[in-house]
Amino acid sequence: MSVTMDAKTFEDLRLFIYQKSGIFFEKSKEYLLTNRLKKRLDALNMSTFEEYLRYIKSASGQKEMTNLFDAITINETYFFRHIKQIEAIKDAIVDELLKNKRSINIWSAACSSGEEPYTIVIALMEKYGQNIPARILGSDISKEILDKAKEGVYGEYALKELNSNMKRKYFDTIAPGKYKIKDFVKRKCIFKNINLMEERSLRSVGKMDLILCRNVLIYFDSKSRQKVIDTFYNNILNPNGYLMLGATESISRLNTKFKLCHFKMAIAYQK
Amino acid sequence: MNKLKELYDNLDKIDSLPAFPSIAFEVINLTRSPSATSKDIEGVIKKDPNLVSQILKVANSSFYGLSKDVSSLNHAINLMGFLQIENVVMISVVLSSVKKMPLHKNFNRDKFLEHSFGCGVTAKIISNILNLNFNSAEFSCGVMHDMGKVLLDIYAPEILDEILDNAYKEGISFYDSEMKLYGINHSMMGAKLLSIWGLPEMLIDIIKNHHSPSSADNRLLAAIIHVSDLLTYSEGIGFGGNYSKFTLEEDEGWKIVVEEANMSKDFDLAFFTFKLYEEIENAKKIYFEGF
Repeated sequence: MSVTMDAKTFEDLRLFIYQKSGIFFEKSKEYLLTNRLKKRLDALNMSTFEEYLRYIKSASGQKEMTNLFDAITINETYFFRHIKQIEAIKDAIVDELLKNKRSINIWSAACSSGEEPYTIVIALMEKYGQNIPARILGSDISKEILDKAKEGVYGEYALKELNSNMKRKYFDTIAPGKYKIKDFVKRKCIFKNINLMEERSLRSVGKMDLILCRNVLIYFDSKSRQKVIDTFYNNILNPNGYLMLGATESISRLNTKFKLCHFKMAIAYQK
Repeated sequence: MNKLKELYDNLDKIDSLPAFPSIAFEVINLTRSPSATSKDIEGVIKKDPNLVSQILKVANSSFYGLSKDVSSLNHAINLMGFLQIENVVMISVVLSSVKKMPLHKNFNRDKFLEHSFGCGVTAKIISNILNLNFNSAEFSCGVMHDMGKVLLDIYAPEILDEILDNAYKEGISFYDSEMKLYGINHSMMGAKLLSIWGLPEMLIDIIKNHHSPSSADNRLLAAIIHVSDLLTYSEGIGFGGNYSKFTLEEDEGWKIVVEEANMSKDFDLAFFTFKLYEEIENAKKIYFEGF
């Protein structure tokens, strides 16, 4: 029997998700949510989405939250994902930040296997040439995934948004369907093992002008989330620096002095 | 005297000025007359087949939430109401004026239309989200807000280029650029055109003040149009000549909206933005097809 989600349940569910995580789940991706949560229904032996909603809203449903968040954040990474945010960085944010200094620091705070920090480098190189006025830090909680980032070898899927010209320019083909990021790109990135929950770990980051922190905060409870946001604001970001979250992620409901700025098809929080 | 000031002062003496179509005028007179019936309006609209098809298209779009199949003009008028009919008429006026615009290197006609319509749609959506009721006037105001730019494009294209270039170079808005260079702006220009056309004062007030909402008689509506103008840019719809980023919380218009619409202090701006983007995606499918 196929389970469907009616409009009201979808609205209730996405409001709950927003209140819990700050992620706005777009209607256009409703089918994705339905498909993913169907698997959770099966695993939990439930027959309707209403039942699932009641469960996650209950005290005992707390342990289900990680599964729910995994289902709503489509955890695929590839180069130039979220092109509107990259454009806002390249066309507006970097220009603004460079008005007062010659070089800026950018931090990709959960960089996984490195696609995001390398994308920033490539985007800036397209604008400035190889001598970009920025240093990029990529960090992740997992050492294994950081090793992959440092190695910089990717398959066809990760490069799907790049045309052959861009591929040639920034990657060496080391085997059919295997691409290694070129050294001149790699040299612009530093990778560090950082746990956002640990004060000491966070202090090693230094001062930043732009922080990218995509779909990470959702996994924290509200207290830890507040703490991380406060540390970003008070200790890490330079004056007028920016914080960018996932494309439909917000921290507006937290208590923060960050100001929401609108760019073309992208938003960012400014100190 | 500068050239833009000259154009502004002599606007009413230009013979080739875009006209306000007489049918549109008749319709607006009727929609605002308490004694007019839908039969009266139907009688006027019938004379213009383009207008008929436009009204039927809108009546059948999901934007108005009318689930039934609307095939007759009379049915459409009754379902949509007089004010919605007025909106469609306004659109047709903007379209026919824009047809006069020369094909220009910087100022793209299609992008301009998208921006104008986008602003009308955004104003409507914002009003819905915030539970404000302007009886649909927000839509016509949004659609008409940049009519002054049409005049610049027709009568002073080299000045338009100069304003755009300067805005781009300095990273400022179109409005700031024209004020800096000429001390005259497209809001004044548009308002003057609307007053030559003899349109209602309420509409002129909004067009005139869409960059200075605090000075408007209807501050809230002017503020909504001002904010919609900004947000239309950030939605990536069309191109109104604005290159700058903006911070809503610090914006003159948004402050008026917060104050006059009695919004709570912890209004979630990001949620509002995401919701708006989503609605705009839907509206795009209806309004921006076929331009």
